[in-house]
Amino acid sequence: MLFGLLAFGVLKTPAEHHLLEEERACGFQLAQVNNNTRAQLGQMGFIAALSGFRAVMADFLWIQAGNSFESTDWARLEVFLHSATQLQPRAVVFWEMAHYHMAYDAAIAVKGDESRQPNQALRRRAEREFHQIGEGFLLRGIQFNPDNARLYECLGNLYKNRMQDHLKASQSYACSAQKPGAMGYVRRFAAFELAKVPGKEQEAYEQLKELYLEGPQQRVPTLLTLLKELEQKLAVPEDLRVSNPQNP
Amino acid sequence: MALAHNTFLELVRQKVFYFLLLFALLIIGSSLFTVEFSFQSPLQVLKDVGLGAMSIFSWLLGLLCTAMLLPKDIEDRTLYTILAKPVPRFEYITGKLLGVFMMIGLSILLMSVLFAAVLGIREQQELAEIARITPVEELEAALAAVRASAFQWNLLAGVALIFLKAALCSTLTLLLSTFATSSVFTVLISVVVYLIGHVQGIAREYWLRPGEVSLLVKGGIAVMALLFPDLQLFNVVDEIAIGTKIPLDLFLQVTGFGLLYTVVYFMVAQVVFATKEL
Amino acid sequence: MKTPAISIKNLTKEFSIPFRTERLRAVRSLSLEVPAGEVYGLLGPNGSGKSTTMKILLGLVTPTAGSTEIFGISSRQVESREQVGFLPENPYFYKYLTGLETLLFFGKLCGQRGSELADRAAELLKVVGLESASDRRLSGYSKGMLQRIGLAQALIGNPKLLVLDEPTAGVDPAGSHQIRDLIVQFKEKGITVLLCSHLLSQVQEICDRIGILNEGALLLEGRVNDLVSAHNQTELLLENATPDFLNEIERRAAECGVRVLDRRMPQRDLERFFLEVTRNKS
Repeated sequence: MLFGLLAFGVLKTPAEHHLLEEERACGFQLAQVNNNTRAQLGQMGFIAALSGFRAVMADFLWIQAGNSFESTDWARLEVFLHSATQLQPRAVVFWEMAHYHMAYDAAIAVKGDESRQPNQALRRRAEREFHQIGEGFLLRGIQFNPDNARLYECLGNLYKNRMQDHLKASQSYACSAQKPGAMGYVRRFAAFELAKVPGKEQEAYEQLKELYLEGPQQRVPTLLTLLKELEQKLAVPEDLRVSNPQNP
Repeated sequence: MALAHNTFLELVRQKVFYFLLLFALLIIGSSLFTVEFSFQSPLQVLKDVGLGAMSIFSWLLGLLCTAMLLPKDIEDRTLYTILAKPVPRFEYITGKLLGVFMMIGLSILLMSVLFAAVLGIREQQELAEIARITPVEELEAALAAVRASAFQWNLLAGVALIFLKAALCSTLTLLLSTFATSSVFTVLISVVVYLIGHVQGIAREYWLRPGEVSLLVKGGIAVMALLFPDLQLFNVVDEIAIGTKIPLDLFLQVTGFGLLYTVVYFMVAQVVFATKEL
Repeated sequence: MKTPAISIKNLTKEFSIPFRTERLRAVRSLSLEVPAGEVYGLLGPNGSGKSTTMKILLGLVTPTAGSTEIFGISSRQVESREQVGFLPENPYFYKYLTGLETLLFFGKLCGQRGSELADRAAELLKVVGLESASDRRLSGYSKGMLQRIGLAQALIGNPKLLVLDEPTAGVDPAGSHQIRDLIVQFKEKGITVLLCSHLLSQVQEICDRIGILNEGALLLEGRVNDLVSAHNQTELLLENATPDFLNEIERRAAECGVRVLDRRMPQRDLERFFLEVTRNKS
C-alpha cells in the first residue's frame, strides 16, 4: 500500500508543481513567509497563516502596523508593513499605504524631528532613506500586481513630489496610463513631468500636442500654459504653434 | 445510501453543529471590527476572517467526525450488526464517507449563508455611510468600490475549493482510521498531514534550490512531497477575496486534482478495510 | 439430505501477536454442523473461541484455514448473510435513533423498502413488546429493551438463521425470561438458532443440542438431555410426607438394594421466586 502511495506520489508531484506555477501565473500563491514574518506571527500564527488563515494573519499584522504608526515607531512600522505585504501581496491597498507611510509620513516626520536628530544633514539623509523604502514597496507591489495602474501612479507621484526625479516620474505615469483602469490625467502628468527634464523638451512638446489635438477634454489650463512655454522655448514657427488661435 | 443518510443523521444529532455557532460568533464579532481600519477596504477583514474560518472549520469538522466514525462503530459493535447484514464492506465505507461529505457540505452551506448575510448587512451600512459623507460627483465610484469589495460570485469558486480540501482531508482521515487503533492517533496523524501538506510547497522550493540543503534533508523533503498532498494548492480564496479572478480552466485543474486525491485515498481505504479483521 | 443451516469444516484461526513470533490459535480445526430448525448452544469459558467462530461465520474475520458455510453459501460471500440475523454481545446500536428508526435503518440495509418494511418493523416491535417505546431514542432504553430491539433488528431481514451472542447478559430476570420465550417462539416458527452463552441453566432450558468449546477445540457435542441426565438416578418429590413415612421408604429402598443418595427439602427456584415477587409488586 505504501508503495502504491509512493508510486502515485512520483506521478503527482511534478503535476502539483506545474499546477502551482500555473496558479502563480494567475496571481495566486505569491505570498512568502520568511523568517522575519514568522518571528512576528509566533508559532501559532505561523501555522495559522499556512493553513487557511493567511489573509487574517496579514490583517492582524496590518493592525499591528497601525499601532506602530500611532506611536511613530518607524522602524517597527516598516517591519510590520513588510510582513503584511508579504503575506498578502495581491492587496494593492497594502502596498499603497505601506509606501505612503514610509515615503511621506515617516520621511516628513524624521525631516522635521530635531529632538531625535539635531544634525540637519543626517535628518536629510534619513528622509531620503525613507523615500527609498517607500519606492521599494511600490516596486515590489508592482512586481506582484503588474497590471495595476494605481501603483504606477503612486510611483509617479513619489518621484515627482518627493524625490524630484522627473524622468522616472514621467515614465511611471506613462506606464500607469497603459494599465486598465488608469486615471485620465496620468497621460498628461507623464507629459508635464517630461517637460521638466532637460533635453526632453521636444519629446514632451510632441506628447502635449498630441494630447491637445485629442480634443477639449485634454485642454486643461496647465497643459495650455506649458504648451505655450515650450513653443517659445523650442522656437516653434508661429504657423505651426497649436496655441495660436489662427491655426486649425 | 441508507448508510450515508444514517451517518449524516448521526453527525447531525450529535452536537457537531455547536461548531457552527462558534463560527457565527466569530463572523459577527469580526463584522463589528471592520469599521476600525479605514485604510483598508471596509469589508476586507470581515471577508478574510469569514473565509479563513470557513476553511479551518470545515476541515476540522470533517476531520473530527471522520476520525470517530469507525472506532465508534467498532467499539459499540454496531459495525458487526451492520456487516452481519448483507452489506458489502465497500458499501459501508462509501456510505460513511458520503455521510461525512453531506455534513461538510451542509456546514459550508450554512456558513456561507450566514457569512453572505452578515456581509450583505455590513455592505448596506457601508453604502449608507458613504452616501452620507461622499460628495455627489464621487458617489458613484465610491459606491461601486464598496460593492466590488463585498460579495463577488468568484468567491463561490473559492468556497468550492474549501469544500474539496475538507473532503480530501476527511477521506485521508478515513484511510488512516481503517488501520489506526485509536481515534486519537488518527486525529493526530491527520493534523500532522494537514500541516505538512501546507508547508510542502515551500519545502519543494528548497529542494529545487541547488546546494543549500544537505542530502539528508533533501531526501526527507522528497518523501514528504511524494507521500502528502500539496494542500496549499486549494488555498486560493484569500486572493479571490481581494479581487483576483480565477480562470475557469485553472479552477477545473485544481478541482480535478482534489478529486483525484480523494479517489486515490478512498480506494486505498477500501483495500485496507476489505481485508481488515474486525 | 437437507443443507445444514451452519456447516463449519476444519476451521482454524490464528492471530499474530504484535512484537512476538508465536501466534495465538483461537480456533483449532473445529468442525461443526447445525441442521436447520434446531436451537444449538455453543458453550465455553471466556476466550474459548466462541466469538471468533461466530465472527468467522459472519464474515467479519477471515479464517486461517478451513471454511464456514451458511445454508451452503460460503461466509466469504456477502449473499451468505441474507439468511442470517445477528445479535452481538452487548449491542449498543445508534443511540440517536429511535426504536422504529433503528429497525427501518437495518431493514434498508437488508434491501427492504417502503410500506413492506414499515409493516415488518411495526410487527417486530409488537413481537418484542416495544410498541410503546418505538418513538423513543435508544439512549433512553434499558438494557433489556436494548436486547429486545437487538433481537427485532436481527429478525428484520426474515432470516432463517439467528446468531445470538450472550443475548441475556446483563439483563434482569424478567427481561431474560422474555428473551427466552422469544427464542422459543422463533424455534416454533422454524428458525434455526445458534446461541452462545455461559448461562448454563438457560441453555439447558431452550437448546436442543449443545457443543462445548475449550481453547478453540470442540470438547463435547450432543443432545442436552443425553448429556446431563444421570440415567441411573431418579428424583421423587413428595408433599406432606411424615418423617415416619420417609424412613419407611428408605428402609424399603435398602431392602431392594437401592441407595438413597440425598434427602433434603426442595429449594424453591430463586429465579421463579424473584419473578413472583416483582410481578406482585407491579
